[in-house]
Amino acid sequence: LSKASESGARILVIDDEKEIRKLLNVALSGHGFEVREAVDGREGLRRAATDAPDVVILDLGLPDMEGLEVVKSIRQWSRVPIIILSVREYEDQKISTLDAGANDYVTKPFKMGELMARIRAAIRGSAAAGGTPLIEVGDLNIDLLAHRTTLAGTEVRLTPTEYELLKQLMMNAGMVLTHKQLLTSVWGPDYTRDKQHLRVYIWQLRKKLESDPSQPRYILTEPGVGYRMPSPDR
Amino acid sequence: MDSHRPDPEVILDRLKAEQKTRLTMFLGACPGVGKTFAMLQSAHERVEEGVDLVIGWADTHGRKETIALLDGLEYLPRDKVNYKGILIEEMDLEGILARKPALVVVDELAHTNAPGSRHKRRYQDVEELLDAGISVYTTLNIQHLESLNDAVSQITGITVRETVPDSFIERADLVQLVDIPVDVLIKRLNEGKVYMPQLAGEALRNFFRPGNLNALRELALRFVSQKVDRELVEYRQRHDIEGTWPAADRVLVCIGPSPFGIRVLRAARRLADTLNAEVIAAHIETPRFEARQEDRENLSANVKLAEELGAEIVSLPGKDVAEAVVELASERNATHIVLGHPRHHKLKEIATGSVVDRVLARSKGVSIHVIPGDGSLPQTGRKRIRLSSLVFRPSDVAVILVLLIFITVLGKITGKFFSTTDMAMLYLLPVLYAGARSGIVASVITSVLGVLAFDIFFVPPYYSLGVASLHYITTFVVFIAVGITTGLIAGRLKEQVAETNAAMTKTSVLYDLSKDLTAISDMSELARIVVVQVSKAIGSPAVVYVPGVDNELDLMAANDPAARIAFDKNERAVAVWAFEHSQEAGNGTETLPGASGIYLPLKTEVATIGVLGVELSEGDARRSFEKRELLERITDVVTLALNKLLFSLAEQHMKNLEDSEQLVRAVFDSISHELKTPLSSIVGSVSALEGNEHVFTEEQRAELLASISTGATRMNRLVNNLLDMARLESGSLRPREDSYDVQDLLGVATAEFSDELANRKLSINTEESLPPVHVDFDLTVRVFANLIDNAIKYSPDGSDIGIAALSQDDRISVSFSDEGPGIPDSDKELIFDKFYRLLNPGGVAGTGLGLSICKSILKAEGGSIRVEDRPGGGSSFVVTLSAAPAVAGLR
Repeated sequence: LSKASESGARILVIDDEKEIRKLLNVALSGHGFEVREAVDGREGLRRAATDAPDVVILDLGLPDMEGLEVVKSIRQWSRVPIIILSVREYEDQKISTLDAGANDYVTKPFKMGELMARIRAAIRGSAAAGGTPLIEVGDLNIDLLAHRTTLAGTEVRLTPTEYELLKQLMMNAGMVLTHKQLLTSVWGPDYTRDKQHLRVYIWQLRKKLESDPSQPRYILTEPGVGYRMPSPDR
Repeated sequence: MDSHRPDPEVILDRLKAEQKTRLTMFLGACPGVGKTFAMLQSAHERVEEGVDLVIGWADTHGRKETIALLDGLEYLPRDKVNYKGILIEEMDLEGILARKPALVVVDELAHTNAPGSRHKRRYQDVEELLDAGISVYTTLNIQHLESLNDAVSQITGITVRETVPDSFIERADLVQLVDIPVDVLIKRLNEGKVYMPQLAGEALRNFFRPGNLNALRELALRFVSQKVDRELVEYRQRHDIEGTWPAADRVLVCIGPSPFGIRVLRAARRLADTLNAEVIAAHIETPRFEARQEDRENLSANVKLAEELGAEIVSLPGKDVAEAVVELASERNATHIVLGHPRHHKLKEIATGSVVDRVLARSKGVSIHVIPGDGSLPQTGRKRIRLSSLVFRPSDVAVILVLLIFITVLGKITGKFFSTTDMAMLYLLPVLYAGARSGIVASVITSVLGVLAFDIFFVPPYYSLGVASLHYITTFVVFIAVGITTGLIAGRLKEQVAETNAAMTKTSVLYDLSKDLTAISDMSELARIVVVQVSKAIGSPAVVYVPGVDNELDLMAANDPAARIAFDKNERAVAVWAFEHSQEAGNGTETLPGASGIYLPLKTEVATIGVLGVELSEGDARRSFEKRELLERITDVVTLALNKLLFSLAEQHMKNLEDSEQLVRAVFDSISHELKTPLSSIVGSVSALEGNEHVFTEEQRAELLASISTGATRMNRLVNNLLDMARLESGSLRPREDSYDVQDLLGVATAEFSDELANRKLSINTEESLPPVHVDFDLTVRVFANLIDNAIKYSPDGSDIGIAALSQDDRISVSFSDEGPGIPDSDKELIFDKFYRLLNPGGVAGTGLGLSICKSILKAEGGSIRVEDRPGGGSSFVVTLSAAPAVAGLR
């Protein structure tokens, strides 16, 4: 664990459930994080502004406002990573908050290790923004300067669209990208409804990258939401 | 339209005919030719071919040969109709429809059914049979054919009233002429084998003169040959046979309000049949056409007849009848114009020429047929003095007499103050009054009285009828003329005022109705308003029927429950018929006219949505043309409103469905949230601890473990609630009651919340020597736990929670108070409803089940629950339980 970049990172937990706040507080402080709590959206926004958190963990079922409002509000003045923590029933809201700028999501009930990994990916992602042109996930390498992709040292020939799609996933490795986000960044804002299009290219990419496309190791499906490249450190 | 082109409508008709049931008609020139015999013979042939045939009606008139033919045929029992105490046998229409044979034999098509039957006429029964998909064999004598009616009565001198419309005869797929030579017929008559209901003895013999019979035979033969001709044309069209085709003829006939129009129409129909032409019946609405009741009735009768004769009705406005007719004739390429020509010229026509003359003058290339009027028709209309003008009110008579006497006395007292001319003028006053008040008769009588008084008292020689000077005669004549004119004008004015009033009443009735019906959101309210307004407008009781859930017709509203139409079963049956057939029925209609109410279906474009019934008194039915018209207009308005209402009800239904869908979603969301939150604490804590124990301090580990147990307790509570709810819903929750101490119950309930209550101040106050309660232990703990849970959830961290128990008579109340925001008065009842909070979220998560479960449990235990405001803020839930019966010796 690369504790150096994480130790002392400040995490803001916005959740109306006392039990969850208590759990996260105990578990995250155990791992050396500093935890701040907020019981509703209003307090969450106030603390996000005053406590300068490194990561925000946001529950969607808040009593006073929609999670989407919280995300939009924070995104007006901050690029702080936001991880959505919610039960599956808020699926639609989950996608709209991701599209609105939230970085990742974790479904309740959750394993602490999973959450921890997402927190780390989020912290690293924001630290590496605009960083190195070489990204490595497992055996998969991408050189953003040379426009070159290799899998276990062998070059993989990709079409320009496939390359662009893979680039987006690699650059955000460890975090989920919604259908809309991928479509917008690869094809432009006019194609946001054409999920079928995206599916075809993902299928082609998997054929070229995965040893078994039905059990993908690199391009993981987030059901109903989008796709994710696993964390580089796993 | 030229008939040599294959006409798409003909093709369509052909397609229909191929599937259609068939009507076969055995036509005879007169009774006794053996129609029934021929029909029954054919029936036997059909039965041998295996056709499912029954006899619905057969008149054998006791002829042996005919009776013998009935053998081996299925004869449905006849229906007995009770008419004024006499049982009359009629065909059992209902029975045939229920039996549903392929072919039914129905003798005597022209028969008129006994009052109280479903239809007035048998041909309407046959129509219903055909519509129900049953083929029919029937018999008819040529004299009963509507368009030949006049011709027959001219030939035989006997008017036949039971006529069958030509449009119905047109439906016959096959007309079979039954004919025997005249001498054989006369021989049969002499043998007593001929039966004619209207005639007997000498009259019968007169009818059966060879001349008559020959003429009737010719009519029948001609009719059949014309029909065959037409069928030939149709056949050639059907098979697209080109060749020389006769130019299509078109007969234009004018209809107006004249009672003599019937004859003109029939003549036109006969002409058209001979020419194989179509008939256009034109009604020209001239500005002069005053809406006189009688004229309108005659006109509507003529229009109806024209429809029955299969004519196309064209109604168009025109200043001049002749001009409009000629124009229409050229527009529609009419080759023949049939006009009626009254015997008596109208005064005006002496100057302008009659309509016939003018049509003749203007038309080119069209044959004009003029049907002379005949004097025997009753003179109706203008010449009749209205009864109302003969009725004088006593007060008017008194005023007129007083005026006459007053003027006479005044003239005498003042002596020479008024000149003779002045006196004549003064005498005009009562004449004007009489004319204005009572009309022509009164004003003429008054003017005569005035003249007499003037002559006797003011014209020398006084006190005698003689006149000294001739110029007074002029005065008298002018006087009488003034009387007549004022009377006429005033009378006409009064009539116009009355008609305007009637029209205004009608308009205002419709306006009121549509206004009242605009904002209705409820079916029964709508029906109630309709019956009230309709009975007000028509002056008789009204009902509204609307189909219920099972599509059975329900009486929705009746303004007079004592009226026959509101309770009589037979009346209801008429309404049902009207509804099922989407046709008007009952009093004054062609169907079931014996009913006391008229029933009008409320029809929209897609379906019949109800029936409006109005009771009509005996005389009303036939003459109430105006009422019928008003009723039809009302029906339109009601249908519109009903349609709108149904639409909005359907919309509401959809919205309710959406709402309940929303509720289901909310319930699932909340239950899933409630389950997953404690599950998250458990899974999260366990996974945090797993393999990471060294990361946490002793204290942190303890907290994580506590979090696991709290989560498990919370889940347990929720699962219990869900199970309780399921049991309550299924009715399988039965409290096992016994005596327990409130202290014990509270102890168990609060123990569950040891973690949550750690930073709360909980005070429990129980009255000293509190009697035990008679409850189910587990269920009551569940109630208490829910209330404590709520108190914790809804109040800020660190605030106090108070529990108090005290007894009152044989009841014990336990209150749970918190320092939360409290509950607004408007919600104090509602919060105990299941899922109430889900639809009205207040910020705190939950299933919306807790309080409703408490209420249900307590109800089962004979207790109750309510919420009060806690003094100093917050709310206080008060549970009332029954105290255990005192045990002797213990207390």
